[in-house]
Amino acid sequence: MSLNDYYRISLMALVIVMLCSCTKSGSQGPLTVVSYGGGAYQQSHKTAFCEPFAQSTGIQVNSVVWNADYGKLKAMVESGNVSWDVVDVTAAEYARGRRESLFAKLSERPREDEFLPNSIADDGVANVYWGTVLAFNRSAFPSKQPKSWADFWNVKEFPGARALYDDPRGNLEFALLADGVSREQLYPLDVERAFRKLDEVKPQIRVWWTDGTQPVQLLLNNSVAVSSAWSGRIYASPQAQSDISYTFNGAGLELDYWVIPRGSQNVAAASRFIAFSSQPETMARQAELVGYGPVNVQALSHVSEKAKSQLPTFKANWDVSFVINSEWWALNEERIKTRWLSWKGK
Amino acid sequence: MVGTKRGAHQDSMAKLEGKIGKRRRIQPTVAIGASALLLLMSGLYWFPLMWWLAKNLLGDRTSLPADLPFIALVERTLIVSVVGATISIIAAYPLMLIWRLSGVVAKQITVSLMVIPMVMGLLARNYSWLGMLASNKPLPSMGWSWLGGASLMYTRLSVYIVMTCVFIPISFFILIQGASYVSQSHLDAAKTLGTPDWKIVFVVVLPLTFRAAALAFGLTLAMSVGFFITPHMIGGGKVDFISNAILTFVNFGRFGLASKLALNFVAIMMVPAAVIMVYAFRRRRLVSGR
Repeated sequence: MSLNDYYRISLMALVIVMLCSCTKSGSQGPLTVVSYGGGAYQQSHKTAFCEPFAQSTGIQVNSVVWNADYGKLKAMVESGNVSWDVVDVTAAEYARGRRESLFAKLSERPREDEFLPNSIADDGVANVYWGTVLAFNRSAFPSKQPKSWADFWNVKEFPGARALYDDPRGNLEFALLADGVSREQLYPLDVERAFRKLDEVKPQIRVWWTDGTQPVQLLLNNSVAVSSAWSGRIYASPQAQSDISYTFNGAGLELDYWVIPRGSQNVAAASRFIAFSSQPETMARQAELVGYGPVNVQALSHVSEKAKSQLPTFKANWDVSFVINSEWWALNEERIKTRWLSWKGK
Repeated sequence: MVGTKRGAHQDSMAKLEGKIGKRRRIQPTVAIGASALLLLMSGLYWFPLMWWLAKNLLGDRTSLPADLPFIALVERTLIVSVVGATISIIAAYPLMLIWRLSGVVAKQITVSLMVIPMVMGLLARNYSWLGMLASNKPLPSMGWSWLGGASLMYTRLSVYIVMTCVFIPISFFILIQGASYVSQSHLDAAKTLGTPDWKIVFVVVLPLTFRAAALAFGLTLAMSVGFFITPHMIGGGKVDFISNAILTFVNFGRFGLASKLALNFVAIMMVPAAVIMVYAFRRRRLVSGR
C-alpha cells in the first residue's frame, strides 16, 4: 500500500466516523432502566422488576447504575441525546426535576387507590420509602448500645470513630434531633444550629461515606464503631445482619420515584415498565430482597412477617422516624451543599 | 580552473536545491489528510477549549459562592500533588538505577513490576489499598501494623502514600528514557578516575537525568491536580481536592458554577505553567527537543 492509498483510506474512514457521529441515534432499542448506586438495591431492581418484565413482555431491559448525579440527567435531557428510559430518582431530585421540566408524561399509570396518598403524578410514580438509620457494630458496644442520634453525638458514653453520609441532607436533621429538636418541628431546618451541633462530632468523623456499601464495610471491619447507613444495605447482607445492629429511632426516610426523562424514545414501554413495577407482587418481591418499604399498600400483604418488621413503612418503625422534606431540600440544597463543602474543609 | 570549480559547485548546489524542492512538494492527498486531521483536532480540542474560555471570560457572569473554600481547596490540591509527584520521582530513581545498571532479566522484572500496577487501573489500585489497610483480617493487620495499620487509612498521609504509588510507574518510565543519556563511557570514566559508586550517582547520573526528572514531575503534577477519586476514597472525604468541589456542582447540575470554578483553578495553575514554559523556551529545550 502506498502512502497515497494510506491517506485516502484514512480520509474515508474519517468521513465515515464523522458522518456516523453526526447521525442522531433515535432508533427504538431495549429499555434502559437506571437504578441508584449498584449493590443490593440495583440487584433488587434487576431481580424483582427488570427480569420479570422482560420475561412477561419480551422487551429487553438494560439495567444500569447512576449515583443520583442530577447534573448527568439534566445534561442528557437538555442536550436532547437521551439514552435512559426509566430513572429511579430521590424525592428531592423529583421535585427539582419537575420544576425544570426534565420528565416526560407517563402514557400509562398504575391504580391510584392502591397507593399511599400523593404517590402518583403525571410524570412520576413513587416507588419505595428507604431509610438512613443509626447503625453500629455489636462487638463495639457489648453492654450499652446507642439508641438515638443523641447517643451518636455522645462520644464519652459511646466511644469510637464515626462515619456519616457525605451530604448535608439528613445529617442536618440528625444533628437537630441530637440537639433536642422534636421530629415534628424539624422543618424549616435551623441550619445554623445544625452546623453548630455538627461541629461537636466532626473530630470523631473518620469517614464521610459516599456509597451505600461503604458504611457496612466500615462497621464490619471495625474502621468505625457507629455510622449512619441505609437500612436496606444491612438488611441485604447476611454478614451485616449478624454483626451490625441498627435502629429506626430518628431515621430519615425518603421516597424514590420512577420517572421518564423528557426525550426518551420509549415512553410507552417505559410507562408500561413503571406500571408493572408498581404491582403489589413485584413491589413485595423487591421489599423481600432489599428491605425498603413499598408505596403500594397492597404489597405489604405479600411480604413475610420477618421482612415486614424491617421495612421503614412498618408501623413501629414509621412511628419513630421522620420523612425528609424534599420540597424544602429542593429549594435549599444548593446553598446548603456549598456551605457543607466549606464546613467540611475547615 | 576556478571557473570550472565554481561551475561544479553551482551544479551540485542546483542538484541539492532540486532535491530539497522535490522533498518539499506535498502530495495533494497528504495535504487533504493533514488538513482533515487538523480540522478534527481543532473541532474536538482547540475550538471547545477556546469556546469554554471565551464563554466564561466574556459571557458568563456567574460568581463563585462567597462561602466556598476555594483557596483552601487549591492549597490542599497543590500541596498533596507536589508532595506526591516529588516522592514518586525520589522513589522511582533507585528503580531506574536498578534498571540501568542491571542485566536483561533484572530489567525485565523491573519493567514488569512497573507495568502491572499501570494496567490494573486506578480504581483497582485504590481498592487494593483499602483492602490492605482497612481490613481486619490477620495478615494485613500484622503486615501493616508498623505503618499504623488501619489507623493510617482515611488520613492525609494515606492519600500521600497511595498517590505516590500511583505515580511511581509513570515517573519510572519517564526516568528510564532519561537514563539513555547516561552512557557507559561516562560511568567507566568516573570509575577509572576512582570515583566511588555513590558519588557517580550524584555527579554523573543525576545531572544527566535531571531533565527527565523535571518532565516526570511536570507530568505527574499535571495529572495529580485533576484527581478526585483517590483523594476522596482514600482520604475518607476529608482530603478533597478542587476537582471534588467541581464534581459536586456538576452532579448538582450547576454547570456554570463548576465551569467558573475550573476556570479559576486553571488561571492559578497558569502562573507556574507560564514560568516553566518561559524557562524552557529560553533554554530552547522545548524548541530543539534537547
